[in-house]
Amino acid sequence: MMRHGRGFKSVAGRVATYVVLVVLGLASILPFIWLVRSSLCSDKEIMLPVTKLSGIVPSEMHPENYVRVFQSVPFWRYLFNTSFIIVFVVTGTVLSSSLCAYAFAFCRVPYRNLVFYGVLATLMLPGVVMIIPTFILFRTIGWIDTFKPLILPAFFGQAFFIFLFRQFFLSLPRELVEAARIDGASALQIYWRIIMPLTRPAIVTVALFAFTMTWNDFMGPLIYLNSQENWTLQLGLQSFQGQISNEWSLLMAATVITVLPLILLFLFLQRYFIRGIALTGLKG
Amino acid sequence: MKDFLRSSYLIPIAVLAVVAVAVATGGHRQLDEKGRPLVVWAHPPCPPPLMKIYNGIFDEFRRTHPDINLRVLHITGNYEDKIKVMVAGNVAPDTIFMYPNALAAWVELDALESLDTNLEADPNVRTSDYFTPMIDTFSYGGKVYGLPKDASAVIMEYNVDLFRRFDVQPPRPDWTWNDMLDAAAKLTRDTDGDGRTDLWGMTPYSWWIFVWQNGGRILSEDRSRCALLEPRAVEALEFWAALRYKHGVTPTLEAEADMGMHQMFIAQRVAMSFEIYPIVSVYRKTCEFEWDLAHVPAGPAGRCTEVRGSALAMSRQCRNKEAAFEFVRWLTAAPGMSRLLAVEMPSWKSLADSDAFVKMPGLPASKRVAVESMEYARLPLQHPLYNEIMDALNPALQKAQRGETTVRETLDHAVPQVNKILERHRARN
Amino acid sequence: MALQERRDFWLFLSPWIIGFILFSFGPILASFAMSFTDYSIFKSPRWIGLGNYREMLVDDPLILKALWNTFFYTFLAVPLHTAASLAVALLLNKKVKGIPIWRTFFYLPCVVSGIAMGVLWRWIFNPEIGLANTILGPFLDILRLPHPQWLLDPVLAKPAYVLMNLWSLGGGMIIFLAGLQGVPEHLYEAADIDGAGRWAQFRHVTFPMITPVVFFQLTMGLIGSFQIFAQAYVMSGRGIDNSTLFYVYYLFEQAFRYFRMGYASAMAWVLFAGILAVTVLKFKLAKRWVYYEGAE
Repeated sequence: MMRHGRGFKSVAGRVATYVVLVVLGLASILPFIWLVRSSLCSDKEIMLPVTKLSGIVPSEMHPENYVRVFQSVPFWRYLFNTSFIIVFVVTGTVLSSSLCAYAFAFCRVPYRNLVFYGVLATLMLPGVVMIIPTFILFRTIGWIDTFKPLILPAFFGQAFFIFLFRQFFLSLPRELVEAARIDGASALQIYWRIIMPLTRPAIVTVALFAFTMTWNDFMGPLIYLNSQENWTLQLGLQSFQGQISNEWSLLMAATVITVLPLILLFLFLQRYFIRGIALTGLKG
Repeated sequence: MKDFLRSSYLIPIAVLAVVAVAVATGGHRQLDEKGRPLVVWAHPPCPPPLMKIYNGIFDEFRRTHPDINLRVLHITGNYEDKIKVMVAGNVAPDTIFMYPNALAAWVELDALESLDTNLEADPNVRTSDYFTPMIDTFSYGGKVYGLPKDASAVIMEYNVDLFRRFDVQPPRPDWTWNDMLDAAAKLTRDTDGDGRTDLWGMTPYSWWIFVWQNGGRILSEDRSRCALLEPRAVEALEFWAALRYKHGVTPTLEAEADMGMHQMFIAQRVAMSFEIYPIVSVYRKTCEFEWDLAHVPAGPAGRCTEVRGSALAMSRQCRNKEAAFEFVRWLTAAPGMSRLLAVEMPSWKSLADSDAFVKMPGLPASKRVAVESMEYARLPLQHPLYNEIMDALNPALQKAQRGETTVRETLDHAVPQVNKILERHRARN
Repeated sequence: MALQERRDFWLFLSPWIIGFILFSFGPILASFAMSFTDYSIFKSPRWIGLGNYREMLVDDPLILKALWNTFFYTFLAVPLHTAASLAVALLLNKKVKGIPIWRTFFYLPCVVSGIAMGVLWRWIFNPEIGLANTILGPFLDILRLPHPQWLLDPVLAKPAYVLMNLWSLGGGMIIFLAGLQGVPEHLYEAADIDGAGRWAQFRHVTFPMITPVVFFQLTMGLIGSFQIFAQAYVMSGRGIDNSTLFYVYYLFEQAFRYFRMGYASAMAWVLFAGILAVTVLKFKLAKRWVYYEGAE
């Protein structure tokens, strides 16, 4: 999959490269180490400055910080809410975006690319222009403080995911589609029976991205979810910080809880993340 | 039919079907399954031990009112902002917790229901049952919008041990600004010899209280412009700012960012703090030293302080007004407030002025101070654009407090901004 | 048959079209109309013509501050982020062992976003006991320099955000890596034969070939940075002296804290127009420096 890169010109070059990489890699990971370390510190120890390298490991581990977090704040509820939203969003996104991508990949229409670039252009719309009228729309229907405003838009296709699916579709062999057409299959049947089963890698990638974006979404839940029982993890974390602004160890434990599922997801499904990102850059 | 299921037309139809399902499910209910009116009360941010007490009170209400379904929402974060968003979203709670500063904005948003008709109709309650400043604070345009719950004004809490240790005269009822400054200066020290001050004499109370104590005002009488550039106000603000940048008797901003103001009192890093009465339950639990209450010092124009406290108000979107009023009345009168005596002072006069409150065991010894403070407590600034006005003034005055500019200079920038805000408000109404 | 294809095309695209009308086009028009009104959502809207725009230009010093803050942040963060992710990609593009591990290390921070990122970095930037000053502290003490106050210092607050933004260079790095891999070997061979050194090769072969990717990164980065919100919300709010009052944050305040929907809509449109203008400008300039293979 990855071609070999350029070789090293000299031993010095090789050493220097590795040194730089190690330093930068460490810089990348250090905040995570700090995060975990802080989450296990006692309330007293976390207020002490770290002066020696050994200070990174807390002198006493306090994993009960995590228990305390769950006791202070209904994180299980937040987790449930977030998951609920995500299930629907991912389903809706995968279905609607793949349908739209099918149009761009398999329907032979002369202006197809033009329309596609138009759709892509909408990626540049700043979302903030739309929030106020959308809020008023949902308010009129009475959907405020429900999950619906966050879920429904996912069923209408999003430019970014349409793009990803289209790229993938274009790489599928045409003969399959041709053969099915000759057999008299309708477009919908071709989509459902032939294309989608072959699209598993792209589906996983899109699902992952949709998952991550929804998990990290803040402004949407902030505007639409009022009651605490409806909150998502991001809202819960932000409000937790408002409550206990200086109890850092608890706050870091809560942050770990909010971040861990994503990290695990990434670690196990890296391939799909990487592939998806690489695809976006090859647009040109 | 089979043809239809293969057709691409299924796609837009499916999408619209999803929308239809979403629209069809949902809606608010007036009465619950048993046909009882639903009253939603939005409870503000509250530490867990206090929440336990409130839960006891709510249970008592439910017991004595089996015909009302009380539902409690727990709001965290910025209460006002969150409730406003709910009102804007048409999902407002029936009864709302009200702070004095917020009232005007709420009334102007047309979000509150006036309680006058309910008050007249109910024989169990009269406005004179509550402390007058409290009722006045929660009235606007001649109508009562909130029934006051806890009565409090900004008063002083001081560390008796520290005063004794450094041999400083404890606060007296006839203290003036200079007495306070003297004591604060004597109590600002470097107690552990590391070259940095770690004990400060006092935390500053709100700058507008200083302004009032000197006979000034924030807004002019007709509320058409900001009156902070008048000599009395400037003088008061200069005294307030000098507490930090000149005399250094109040904590630095960095120290303040590290620990909140009352945390510093608990940690014995300030000797005098100026908080409202409800802080006593926190101090009682966490202060490992003797402390007590005292009156705020008198300024050149006399003694005054600001009413804080809180009230319960009813929202216009309330669907069961009588039931909601009953909750509001019950909670603010003796039945509701008697369980909270350890935590706050009720606005219900007869309960506050009784031995049950004043002679309760436990610190502070001088609970009377809280009752007496009602006599010289003043209404806070009530303006619909209170937040915007303060957002324009506070950062500017903080600059002066840090000594980066003079009070006059910073006001020269800030006051016109406030005037613009007031102007804009007048133009729109 | 062509008719059938056409029908299928539009029908398959219908979800996006309906969504566009409902959630994009409609709201954009509505937002435009709303920007000419004074609308507090609690009362009915009132037409005030260009009043909001005039207030933005003339009466509201915070708008300029918000614009300045956002520009400063964007034009510092985006080029730095792009350059840094390109640099790391170049490093990894050599025959480095264990690329998957490096990729993990560098991309992991990108998974943390929004509020969690803000909470973590607020802790990192704590002036007394945060990670940043724990590391810098000893060096600064030797040089007898004061410890930076980061988010509490009006001058350092925005650079702090830029630094935080650099942490997530993994995403860009992966895109650049993919792009770098696409540079044909024979070009490098030709350059070698011509005797070009490392740097010359980069300037004349590598960089021109990846300019489309650079352009893409800069564009998306620009649009993204302009809309920074969640981190500011949780880290510093408006900041000391309004030093971290970013445009979208201010817009949000106007809409959902002060309930001035008309004014906020006007702000949104100004942002929209600004981004559009900058994007068009970029595309025009792109012709000068972005090189597309086969476009000779």
